[in-house]
Amino acid sequence: MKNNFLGLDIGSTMTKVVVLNSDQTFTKIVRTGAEHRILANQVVGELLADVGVDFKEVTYVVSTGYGRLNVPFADRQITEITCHARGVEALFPGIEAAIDIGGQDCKAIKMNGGKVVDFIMNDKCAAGTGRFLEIMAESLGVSIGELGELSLHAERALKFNNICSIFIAQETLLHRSSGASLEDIAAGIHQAIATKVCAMAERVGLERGKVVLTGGGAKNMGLVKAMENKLGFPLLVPEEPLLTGALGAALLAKRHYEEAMQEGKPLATKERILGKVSIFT
Amino acid sequence: MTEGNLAVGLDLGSSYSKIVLLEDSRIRVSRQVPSQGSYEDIAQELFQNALGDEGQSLDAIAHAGVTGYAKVSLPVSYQEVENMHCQVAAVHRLLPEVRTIIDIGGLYTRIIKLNEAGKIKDLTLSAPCAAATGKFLEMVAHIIGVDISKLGDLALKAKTPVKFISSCAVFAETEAISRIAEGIAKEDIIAGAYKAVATKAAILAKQIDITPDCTLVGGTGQNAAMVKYLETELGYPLYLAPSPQYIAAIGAAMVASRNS
Repeated sequence: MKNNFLGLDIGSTMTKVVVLNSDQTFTKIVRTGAEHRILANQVVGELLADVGVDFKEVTYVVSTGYGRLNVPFADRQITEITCHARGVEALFPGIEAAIDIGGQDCKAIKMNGGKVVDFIMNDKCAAGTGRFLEIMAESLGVSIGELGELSLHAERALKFNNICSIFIAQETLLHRSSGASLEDIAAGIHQAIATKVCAMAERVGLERGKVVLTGGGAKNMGLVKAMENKLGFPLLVPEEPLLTGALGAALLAKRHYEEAMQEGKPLATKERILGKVSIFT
Repeated sequence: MTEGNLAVGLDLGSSYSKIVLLEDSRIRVSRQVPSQGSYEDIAQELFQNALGDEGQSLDAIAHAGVTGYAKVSLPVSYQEVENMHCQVAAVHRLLPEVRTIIDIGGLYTRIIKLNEAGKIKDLTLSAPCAAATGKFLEMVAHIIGVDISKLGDLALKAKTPVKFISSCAVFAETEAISRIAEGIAKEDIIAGAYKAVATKAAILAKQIDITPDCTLVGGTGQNAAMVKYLETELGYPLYLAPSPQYIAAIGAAMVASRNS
């Protein structure tokens, strides 16, 4: 029987699943939402059914992310910082820093060989997170994708004097009524968030050309460009920037299994029942 | 504009816009509406309705003062007055013993220290961040599904106010959702929000020399829960004006009368 390893990353906004075996990697991404968090078990079930793997054939399960503690079928819970570092290392071997812009937080990780050396996290202020971009898009009446695209066509980016999401949303309305273009507003918004995120990330130490950007923020070209301008060098972005945490979780599941085998220890696992993932324990 | 006997004061705020008609410093009419839509439309509507309430024509208006977020056009000439000066003028007239004005606004908190003559002695303003401001309370009210006007009464029924981990106005939503899901009573969540706002205001007030002669102006001044939590955090009872939400509008009318 093939060994399958499962990584489940329940973020504040998106839920990500990765199943690894010796030949292949399978993935699934859905929106978290209060409802979906309850249904994370269903999401895992669907991915396994799609790839034709029975849950009983899953060797080890690691959960990570904001909702990791509430997964009854996870054999182990590991913080998202550790998982991200591991996932990023697998995609970009030897890389030393990663910035993750999630739905409701933002983190900068300094690493060495996939191990976390240092990290900084902001989950206290919405500025610098995906939520910031959501609020701006809402107040301008466009989608987040459109907001990123618009910013690439700006003539002169507006300058915002502070970074509070609420204040900037208020300011954008004033700019709109005084005739500023959506493009220039969008570019200003991305510059403001890029300034905030880069200032935080630089505190862990960033080396030219050796920084990976992950999370939903990495899917926004406007933000990627604004950050590259700010840092003065290009960022490395995975093909699917949402998956590094779940990938890292699956890889750590595999490593844990291999270590247990080497040491000849029994592998303690939960019963292979896809129990409901509750919001709270 | 000299034959009239009324002074009009208009305050275009971030959350609410207010108007008062004063006759010899006494309020004849007061009205407020949420600041939704253009300030121009809001100003016209408030102005016409206030006059209509009194059955007065434009001729009755001797002085007009406007303060707040926008420039608007009115059918009478008016003086623009800085919001802070409005508050100072009105507080010094209505509550002469007060030396500290605390203003918990929609977007910021401001503390003004006055001297005996009603002149500004010191001033401090919260950082440009909506954490633990009126906006934060609005967001919590929205998530809990309670009208903002009912928020104070509910908070007063709280047993154990929750502690907010982040007072970011945006993350207030997330935190409130989490607390609701944990089964915590909405009264305790709301009271926790008031407590966060009061704590921030008290910390700011204590940065400048604070004495037991404070008033709370703006919409929060008529909110018993806000008053209670702020009094607890400050350690002093507050002096309160009869219509604290209209203080800036009253002051705008007073300053306009004084200067013309």
